[in-house]
Amino acid sequence: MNIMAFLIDTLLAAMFFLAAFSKLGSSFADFRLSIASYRVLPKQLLTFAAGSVLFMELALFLLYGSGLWFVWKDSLAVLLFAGFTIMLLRKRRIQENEDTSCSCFGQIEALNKYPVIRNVILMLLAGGRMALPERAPQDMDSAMLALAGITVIVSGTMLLELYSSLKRSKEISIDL
Amino acid sequence: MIRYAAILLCIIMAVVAVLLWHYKKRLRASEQSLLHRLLALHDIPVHARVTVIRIDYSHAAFKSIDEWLSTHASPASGTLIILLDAPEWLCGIKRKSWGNHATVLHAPQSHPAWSALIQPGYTVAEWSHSRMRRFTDQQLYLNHITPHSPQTDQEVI
Repeated sequence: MNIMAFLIDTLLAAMFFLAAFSKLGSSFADFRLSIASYRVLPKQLLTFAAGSVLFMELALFLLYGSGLWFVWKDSLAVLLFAGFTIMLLRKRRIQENEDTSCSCFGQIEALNKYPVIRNVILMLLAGGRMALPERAPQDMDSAMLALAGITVIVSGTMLLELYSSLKRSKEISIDL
Repeated sequence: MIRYAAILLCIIMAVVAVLLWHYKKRLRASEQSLLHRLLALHDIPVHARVTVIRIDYSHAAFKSIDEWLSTHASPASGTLIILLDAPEWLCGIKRKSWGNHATVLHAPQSHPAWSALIQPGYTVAEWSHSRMRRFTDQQLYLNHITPHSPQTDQEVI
């Protein structure tokens, strides 16, 4: 039971971190514009909305990584996934002739395909997580384990990014 | 035991972060150098802000992008390059209607380095004041990001 809880927590933490990471730096402006394409918010609120999504993804990453706020964070996660899915379906209805994949994970195409199914799966995971035992770190050892999980997720993501940067460096070294 | 593993992982994370920052900086520098070499190749003057946009004439959004480009003068402080995926005769027409601030290149005949710079998956690449950004939607970019001024020849004297 506890292993299952730890695995689900880690998976959700990794998903939230990947989502947040893909929106950092130079991608933030593009993400902000993609919110504009949903046509739910006025121009002035775009930056705030984009910042809020980024903030919540980072917060949920830390919360799932540490195991804190049991039930509260899971409910928030379920609400978020539901909200994103509803907006995505609404956007698809409005713009039938344009491609409506989501940009939730930036350029990580594998995670951007089939966003509705993906969101439903994550929603079920977060919802089901509430039926499993709590995992808040009680002692130094479990706190260190949580820290280890968090650093592995961050390092793993950065290594993937490093790999694609190096690959791109090769593509760019073109002789005109 | 787990505590030492956690500390070690934190150190590894810091090292990876530094490596990533270093290689990204290098990548940005080589992308900028490639951009400048391409601009020199085409004899395009370089300004503080350089925008490269890829447009496909068969896309549904082409009509509104075309309208936007025809009615908005590009800012004097920017270099605008448009990679147009369209028959050559259309490129010639658009060269005239989109004004002389924009350089229109016939995409199929242009150097593949242009597409490599924009990166597959994106349609706009913008360099301004040592910051570089990419965008996926040209229409949203033009409507929201570029500072534009209405054509001055509409003013009544």
